[in-house]
Amino acid sequence: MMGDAGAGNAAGRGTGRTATQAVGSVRRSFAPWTDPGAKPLIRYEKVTRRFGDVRAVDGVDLDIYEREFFCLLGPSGCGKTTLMRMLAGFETPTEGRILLGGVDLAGLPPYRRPVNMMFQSYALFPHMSVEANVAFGLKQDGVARSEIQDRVAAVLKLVQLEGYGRRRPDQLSGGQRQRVALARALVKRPKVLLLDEPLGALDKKLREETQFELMDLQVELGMTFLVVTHDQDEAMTMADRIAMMDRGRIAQCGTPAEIYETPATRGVASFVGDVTMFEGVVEGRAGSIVSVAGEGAAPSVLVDEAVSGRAGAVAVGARVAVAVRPEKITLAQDPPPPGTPNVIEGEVWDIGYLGDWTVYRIRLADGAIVRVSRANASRFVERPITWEDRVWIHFAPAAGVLLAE
Amino acid sequence: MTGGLTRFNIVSLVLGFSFLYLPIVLLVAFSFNESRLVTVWGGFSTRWYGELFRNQQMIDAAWVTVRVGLVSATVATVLGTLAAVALVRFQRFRARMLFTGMVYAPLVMPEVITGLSLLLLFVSLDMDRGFWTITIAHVTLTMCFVTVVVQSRLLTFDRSLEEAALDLGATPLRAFLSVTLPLIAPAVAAGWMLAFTLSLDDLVIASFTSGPGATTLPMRIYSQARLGVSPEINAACTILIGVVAIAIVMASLATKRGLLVGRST
Repeated sequence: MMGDAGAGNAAGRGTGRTATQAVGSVRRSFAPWTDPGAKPLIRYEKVTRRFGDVRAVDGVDLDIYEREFFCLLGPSGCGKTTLMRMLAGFETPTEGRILLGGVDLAGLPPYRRPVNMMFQSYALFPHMSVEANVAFGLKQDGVARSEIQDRVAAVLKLVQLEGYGRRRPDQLSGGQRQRVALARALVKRPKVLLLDEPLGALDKKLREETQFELMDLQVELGMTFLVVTHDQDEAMTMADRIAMMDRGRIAQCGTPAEIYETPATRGVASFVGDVTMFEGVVEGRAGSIVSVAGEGAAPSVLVDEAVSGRAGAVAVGARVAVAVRPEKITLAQDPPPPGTPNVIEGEVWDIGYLGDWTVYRIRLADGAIVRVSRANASRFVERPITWEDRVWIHFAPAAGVLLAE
Repeated sequence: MTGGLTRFNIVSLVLGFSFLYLPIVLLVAFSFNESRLVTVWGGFSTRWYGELFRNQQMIDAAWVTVRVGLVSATVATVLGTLAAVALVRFQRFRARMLFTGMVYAPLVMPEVITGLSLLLLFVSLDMDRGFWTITIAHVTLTMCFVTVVVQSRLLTFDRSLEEAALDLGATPLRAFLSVTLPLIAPAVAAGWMLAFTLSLDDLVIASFTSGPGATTLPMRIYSQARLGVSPEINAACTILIGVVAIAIVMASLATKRGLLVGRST
């Protein structure tokens, strides 16, 4: 029940932006999911939601902790929105149960749940002013008129919409509407704020700014945020932890770094960031180094399975893939010294210049394409790499991740 | 595609519109005829309008018609709106198709059948026929029109608006009253106006279900016309046309405004 106290003083604390620095450093050591004694605020227990024969959500177990910024990430139709809507009360689990602060939510209608949602379409009431929209929730609770006024003013200040109270939603820009929707969901100080694709309707620049504002706001208010998004950059930037969903199940749940550096499945590896997969069969292992033999002309590679913390999971003879991120591959114009692991010769097939990065697509002897990216740290390059150049790529065994299936 | 009218377009427009409106134009024109003879033009005059307002039977009939229209349109709007909400909202409700069909059936049901069946009902219930039986019959007739108008508005209604209200703590009833109803109000008003107009110019069902002392304006006009068309009847019809036209224009304006409000989310 600490959430109430935290949110309680936050709504009145409009000047909190300067405090973000201090709170931010606390945030760095914030990892309640590693503490076995910590009690989750939200707990999904074997939750399944069927629509006819389709399992939109399939046996999901998930713990989300107080003050966490949690993202449900996945392609459209993966069940992330259904999972969130079950917490808000708009969908009922077919099986399993959802606990909030230890209390089973079953049978509780949406209007009695201590959570509020920011809708993807914002769902602002078009016939009401900004103030009336924000005050709507407080009015339903029978809050005194003077207190409503104060709280609406405070929350509008918090989202930087002072002076817009009398406007109608159709007189606002997209970014302003997004803020009204946020203010309306925040004003009741919910235990959990649910955000359904909160930045989906904004253009790229505004989206990036708003991401950081949302993060600051969440730390400032000490509130638990649950965000649904299909945008991996958004999830990586904002979340403390991400649950990557695929076909109704949670494929992997972890911090952004865990998801990116040690993806658990091929699906996660290819949905989050760019990746090259070296397919092959496990040939043998020496310590934690596994050798994977490519078939035919495909290259053989060494990979350190200790990196993912899933050592010994794959048997000799099993078909596997080694996933390597483009920035972890080194590109050389001369053959590397003997003894360098995972050296593969290839030809520059395509070059994509992105300003900060250049992405090279290297074609190997077997026709496979490897993505390699290089930071453009220096303005002058003596021997620029160009199309059809003969090049050598190499990467450390610890750069790859061994994926079964 | 060019925006200009070809000769062919002009001819078809003229033909179509004269077919639709020539009889009405004639009727309106002859209502301002000085002569007592219906088919002979005797100069412009508003004399028959004066005669009309001195005809107590006509005034009584008009008053009955307006009262029936107001009451039946209001009741039909409440019932029709509730039916529309139920049909659109409960999508997983099993017999939905059947119920939708049943609501629409009266639209195509011959009025003679509706009138006769209502008459049988009132007789078997031993109800005194008069103002209330006509009103009830008109609710039956017009309710489905309201349902159709409101339902089409609800289909384009953003469901998440209602969900947002629930999420913010409003009970389903309060969410409906404070969010849904204000937003579909133009469609509801259009439905009311449509129901009122239908009630105003109904002859068949009213004749079946009326009793002594409750004669509606269309019934009065019809019975007088059988004795011979007088310019006075033309005047009464012109006024009726005017009222109906105004109501229809207002209904379509309301619907148009409703679409605009709905889009501004």
